[in-house]
Amino acid sequence: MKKPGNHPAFKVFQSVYILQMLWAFIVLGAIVLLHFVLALVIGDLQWIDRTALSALSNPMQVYMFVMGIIAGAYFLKHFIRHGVTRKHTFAGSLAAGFAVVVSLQVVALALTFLSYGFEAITPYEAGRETIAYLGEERGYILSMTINAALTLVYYLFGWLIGIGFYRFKVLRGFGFIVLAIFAIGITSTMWLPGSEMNVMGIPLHIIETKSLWVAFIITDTVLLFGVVLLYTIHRNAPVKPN
Amino acid sequence: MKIETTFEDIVLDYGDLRALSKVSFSMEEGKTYGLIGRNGAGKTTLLSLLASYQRPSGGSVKVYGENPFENAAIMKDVQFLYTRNLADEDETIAKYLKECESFRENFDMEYAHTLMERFGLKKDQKLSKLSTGMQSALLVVEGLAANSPITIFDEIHHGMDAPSRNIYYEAILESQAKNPRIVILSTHLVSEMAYLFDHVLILDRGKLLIDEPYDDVVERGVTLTGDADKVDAFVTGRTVIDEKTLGKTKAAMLYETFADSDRKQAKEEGLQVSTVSLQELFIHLTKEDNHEKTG
Repeated sequence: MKKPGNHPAFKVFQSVYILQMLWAFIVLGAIVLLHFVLALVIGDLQWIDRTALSALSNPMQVYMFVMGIIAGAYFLKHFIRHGVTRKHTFAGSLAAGFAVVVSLQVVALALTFLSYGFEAITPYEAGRETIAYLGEERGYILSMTINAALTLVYYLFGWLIGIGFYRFKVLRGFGFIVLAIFAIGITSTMWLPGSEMNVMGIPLHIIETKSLWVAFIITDTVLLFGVVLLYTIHRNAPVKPN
Repeated sequence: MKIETTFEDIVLDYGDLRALSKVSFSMEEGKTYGLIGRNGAGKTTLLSLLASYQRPSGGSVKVYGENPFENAAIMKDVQFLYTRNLADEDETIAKYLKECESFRENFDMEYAHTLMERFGLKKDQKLSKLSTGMQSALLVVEGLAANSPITIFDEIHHGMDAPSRNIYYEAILESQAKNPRIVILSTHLVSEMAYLFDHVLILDRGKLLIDEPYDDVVERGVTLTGDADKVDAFVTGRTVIDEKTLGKTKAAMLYETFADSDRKQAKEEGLQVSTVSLQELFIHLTKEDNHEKTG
C-alpha cells in the first residue's frame, strides 16, 4: 500500500496548497498594509472599523474566486503532464482549496487577536465591527464556518468558469459565468439579513430571509452541486498538448 | 515487468474530421521508435492517446495489457514531452525539476544535473528567461532524468542549435543503453535523427503507412539509374515511388523487397543500384500520388 505522502492526489494537494497559500500571504499582506495606510490617512473608513476576520472575508472570496479560475484553466493540463489522473488532480485540488479556505479563516482570526494585542500596547485602535449573518452576530466559530462555506462557493464556481472555458471554449464558457453569478448570488443572499441579493457587491434581486439551518442547507447544496458538476466535467476531459 | 504497448484499430474523430483511421501497431521495451509524418498527419494526436490526454473514438490502446486512460499505475510511467511556451513561468530550473521529481518515482536528479551541465543550463535560471532552445534542452533533461518506462519526445528540438541537438541524441542513446525503455521520437528532422531509430512508424493523413524495423525500411528503398528504356523495362510491375529523367538517363526509386537476384539482374543490364535514405523514402511515400501504391 502506498504511503499517503506518495499518493498522487496528496502530491497535487501539497503542490496546490503551498502555491495558493504563498500567493494568499502576498495578497493578504498587501491588504493588511493597505489597512494600516488607510487607518493612518483616512481613519474613519467603515472597512477599517471591522475586525480582521470580517474585513478580510470579501478579499478572501475574491482571491479564492481568482484561484478557482486558475485551477480550472491550468491544473488539469499541468498535472496530467506529470502523469496524474484527472480523478487525483480533482481530489487534490479540491482538498487543497478547502484547506486554503480554512487556513485563511484561521489566519484572519489570528490577525484579529493580534490587532487586539497591538491595541493594548500601541495607540492603534482595532476594529470591532463584524459581519452580521442573517442579521445577527454569530461569534468567531460560526462566523468562520459561514465565511469558509461562502469562500468555498467562490472557489468552486471560479474553478467551473476556468474549466468551462478550457473544455467548452468561449460560447459555452459564458454559460458557466452565468451559472457562477447565479450560485454565488443565491448563497450570498441566504446569509443577508434583509431582502437584498448581493453578487460581488452588486445588489441584484429580492429574496426573503431564512433560518440559519435553511441557509446552511442551501449553501451546502450549492457546494455539492458545484463539486458534482466539476467532477463530471473533469472525469473524461480531453487535454490538448500545447 | 517488461513493458509492452499495443494500439489496435485506433480511430479518433474530431467532429466530422477523422484524425486517425484504423491505426494498429505495437511497441516493446528497449527500442527507440521514430514516428514521422507530415504536418497534420496525426502524430501528436496518436501520442496523446498513449499519454492518456484523451480517449480514442474507436479501437484500443493497451499498456501492460491494460487501458492507460485514467489508470494511475500506467499514467505515472508515461512521460510525454512536447514544446510549450515557458515565457510566463517565473520559477527557477531547480524548482521546476524538483516538482518533476516529486511526481516521477524513478527521477534521477543527479543525472538531471549532469545533463544540465552538458546543455549549459544553470539551476537558478528562471524559466521565463530561457531561450527557446534552452527550454527544449530543459525538456530533454526532464524526459531523460525521469527514467519513465515510456518516454515520448514530440518535436521538442525547437530552437536547439546543432551542438545541443547532438547532446540530445547522444543522451538518448546513453540513457536507452543504461535504462532500456520505450522511447518515441516524433520528428521532422528525419535525416538527422534516423540513426537513433530501431523502428520506424510513418503516419500519413491519419493512417499508418509504415511500421517496420529501421533496417528493413531503408533496405526496401533503392534507386535504379541508367538508360531510360532499360529502367522502364526493369521497373514494370514494381512499386515506383519517384522517377526523374534527364535526357536518356532515368532514375527510378522503388519501394519493395529488393532481392540479391534483382540486384544482380540490374547490374547485368547496366543499371546502377543505390540505397535511399529514410528521409527520401518519407518524402516520396507520403506524396499524394503514392498513397494508393503503398497504402
